[in-house]
Amino acid sequence: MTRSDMIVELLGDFGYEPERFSLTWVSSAEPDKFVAAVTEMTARIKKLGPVNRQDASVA
Amino acid sequence: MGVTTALEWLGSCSGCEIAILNIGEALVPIITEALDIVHAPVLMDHKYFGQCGEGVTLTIPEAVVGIVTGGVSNHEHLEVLEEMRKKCKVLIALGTCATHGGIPALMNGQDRQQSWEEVYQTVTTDPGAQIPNVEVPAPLDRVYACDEKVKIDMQLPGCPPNPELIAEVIVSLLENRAPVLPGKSVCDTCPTRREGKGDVEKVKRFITNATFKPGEPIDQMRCLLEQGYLCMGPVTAAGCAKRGAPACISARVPCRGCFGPVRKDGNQLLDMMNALASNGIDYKSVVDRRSLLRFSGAHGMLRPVKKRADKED
Repeated sequence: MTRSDMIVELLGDFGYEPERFSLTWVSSAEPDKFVAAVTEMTARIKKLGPVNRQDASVA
Repeated sequence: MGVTTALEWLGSCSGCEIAILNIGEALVPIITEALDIVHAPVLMDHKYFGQCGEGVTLTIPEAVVGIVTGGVSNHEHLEVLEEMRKKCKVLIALGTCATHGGIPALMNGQDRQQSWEEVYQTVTTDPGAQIPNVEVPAPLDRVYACDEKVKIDMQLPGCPPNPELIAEVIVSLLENRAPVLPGKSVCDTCPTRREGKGDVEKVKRFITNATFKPGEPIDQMRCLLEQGYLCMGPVTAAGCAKRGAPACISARVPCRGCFGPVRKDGNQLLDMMNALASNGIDYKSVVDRRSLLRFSGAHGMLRPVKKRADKED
């Protein structure tokens, strides 16, 4: 199992949406692809919203 | 004149209180001479609102030593815990529920609203029935360990905790010395034979017995993890060993992690999967790996699983 697949499983185990992780290959000769990837990921994360911080800090 | 002591129980099953009683004969001088118990709900008849109910606010008397069991899952638990912190100089969290969330914290792994509906509105429930909210303490948003809400001076995990350790901690406090506590992980206290990494590809389910010769002492049995069983010894705090071997291993059964993680902020799921991965076990093959957190679901370890969102527009 690849490491990135395992990260997705691990995130799921701890209650994080798998969409919060993404692995994209872009070469320096593909600027449009890079822009599209970053824009798409930013939009995706904004839509998911902040991680629901359930841990209280130790008193 | 003994040292004033208050006990309280929050989301507790009373197993920790029974563990205190299981100290046995050594308990008698502790509670008659060494300690002066001023408040203990299950063992002593001292009430929150005055002995005849004349009080208005929940009050616990002042004490030097406070022992609290059980986790914090509703507002009454929180109120009692904060009062204990206010009135006790040294506050001890006893039992894995108090130190790490324990079994009640399993609920943190499910959607809370769904859980309540499942509990209170089954197929046979009369129509119009509601989740009770009158004259019952309001639940918190999840189950907490005590140290997430107040400062705790000493943690004594265990499900149940080891009566000998409870006695040792109380006596060491009174003698003003550091308690003598066992080593780091359950493996440190386990006498089984280690022969090196076992020839294991998949984790074995405990539907077949471990390999051992009946009647032979424990130190003749091969380590259960090496035999391929999911023994949480490496990622669990030591303390359960009585009579020379960890409690479950002495019954030839793998450890379930009931003392919580070895380090304070250890993650029993991650650490155990790490240990298995280093033995070549596939992460996904352990389909019930979330139950590695069955005793340590507080501190934000266990959260509801989010379903994969469908493709957005």
